[in-house]
Amino acid sequence: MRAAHRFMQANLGRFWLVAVYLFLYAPLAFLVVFSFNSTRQDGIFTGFSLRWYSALWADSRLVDGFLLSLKVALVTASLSAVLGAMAAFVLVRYERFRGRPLFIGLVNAPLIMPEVIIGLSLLLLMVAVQRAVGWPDRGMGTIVIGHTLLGMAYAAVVIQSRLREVDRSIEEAAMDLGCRPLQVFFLVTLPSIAPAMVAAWLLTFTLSFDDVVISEFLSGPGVTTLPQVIFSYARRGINPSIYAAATLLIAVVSLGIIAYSVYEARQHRQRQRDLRAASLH
Amino acid sequence: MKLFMAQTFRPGRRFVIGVPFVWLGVFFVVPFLILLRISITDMGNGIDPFAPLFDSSDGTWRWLFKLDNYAAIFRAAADGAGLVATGLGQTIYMDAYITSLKYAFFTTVFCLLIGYPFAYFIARARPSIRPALLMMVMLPFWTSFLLRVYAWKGILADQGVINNALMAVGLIDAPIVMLYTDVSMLVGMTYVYLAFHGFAAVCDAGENGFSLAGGCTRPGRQPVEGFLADHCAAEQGRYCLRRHAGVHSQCGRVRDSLFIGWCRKHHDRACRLGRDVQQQQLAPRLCTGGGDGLSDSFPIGPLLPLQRPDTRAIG
Repeated sequence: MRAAHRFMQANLGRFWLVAVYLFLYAPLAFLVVFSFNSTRQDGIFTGFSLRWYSALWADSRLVDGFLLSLKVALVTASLSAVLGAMAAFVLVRYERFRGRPLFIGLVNAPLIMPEVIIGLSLLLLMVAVQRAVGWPDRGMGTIVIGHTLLGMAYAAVVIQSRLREVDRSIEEAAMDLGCRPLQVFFLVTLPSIAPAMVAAWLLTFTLSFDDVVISEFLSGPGVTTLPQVIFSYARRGINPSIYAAATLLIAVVSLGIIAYSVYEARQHRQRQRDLRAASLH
Repeated sequence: MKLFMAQTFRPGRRFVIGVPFVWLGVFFVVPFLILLRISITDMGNGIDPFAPLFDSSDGTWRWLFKLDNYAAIFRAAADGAGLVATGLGQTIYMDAYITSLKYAFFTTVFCLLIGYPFAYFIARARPSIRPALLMMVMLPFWTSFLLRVYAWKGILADQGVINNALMAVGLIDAPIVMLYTDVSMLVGMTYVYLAFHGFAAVCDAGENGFSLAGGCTRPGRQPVEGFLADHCAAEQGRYCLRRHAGVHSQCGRVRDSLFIGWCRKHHDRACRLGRDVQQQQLAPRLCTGGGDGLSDSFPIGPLLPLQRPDTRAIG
């Protein structure tokens, strides 16, 4: 008993980590395993089959939803990154202008505001505008606006933290050497905040690709994003085609993340080597 | 130089400030004002959300405001005669609000209980495996959260994995009802937010808290005690730091005092450390991770969004 106790104490960290990772990965494992199930059963694995993958291709709602979500997420992420970069630039570089407190509040407000309220109030705006001028119809455009409103706030936070670390003296050097302000921005500032913009792009892409609340308010008849399709299926019961879709998504994401971290690790080692080489001279 | 920049940046400056401002104004402020307007509109029988707020047909201005909607939130609780009274004489809004608060509270508690030690153990793991551990926290976050929650349905259902496994082993005869109860709600909520919390806590741990704590712990100390002591010390140190920097939030104070209260045993040591931190001006080293932080050993790019902005703001 005492030995067990001591063993427990020595390995508590390991146990804790394994337990939490099991908790984090249980649903992913479930999705992958049961996407290959041969029947609709979701409690017992009855045999291996690929029928849900072929059912996935045949399901036009899922495929259309996926394509729409992809388009929405691409546009949203790009718009958010650009708008977020502008907002971040204003927040970091322009210390004094009229309405700065309001600006700070507005940029951060979507982060705090519940998504339901963002969706509802935007829907009311769209309805009011449509009543007045007969445009726009609810659809992809309105969903993109809703997602970008949220995405921009996230992007601004990410890019802001990077922009604060950018060395101003390099920019000033470029100015001294005759660069115009716009050139300075595109030749010096933009490359140094590029990693943050990529991170912001990826983050807003997943936010948009995942969002169901705002889409639910702003989508129109016949226009449904992938999460909306999944959500409506979920209410009707189990559909293993969803598991198949999830498995494909998990595969893509895992490959992407593994590739990225291998690349980063290599870059890091290269930097260390360069640093060591530089310090020797 | 200053003057030169100020002048040449003018048109660009106006553009850069203007675009986000207009965007937020049109799509955030205006919708909000519409929402506000509808909340006080007397819709009458026509149920017209855009009915006029003023009436000037007979020459004088008359207000047509209506605050009944606001009263309806509390009415049933106040005089017991609400429009939609449920269970305990509360309106449906109050009920929903209290339910949300209850789930939010328990989710937070569970995330803290599971997530903080988790982050701590990651921060204390061997540096060679730390990046892999962090990457494994990151992965679920990038996959669709809806799909992961959907999977819990299959795991927790009456005919789901857990019930089937337990019945196959013979531990239970009839399925335990877990889906659509508080259990499933809390498992799902904790699951979704643990990824967020784990992230934030790991970054936090690597960036300032635990790297300090790690250096102060005597080797060979029992893990739990060590964890609490380290945590207290780190929290206390950060508490002083943040108060010093004037960016201490109410929320942070509640959390800090909770932790400090829990491990009173180490309170004195924590305070001493906090004072040391303050006196020796360790702030810059702490806030940048002191070269020992995770950002040096791990591609922190995708994690950045989940770092608490306030910890960055100090440095």
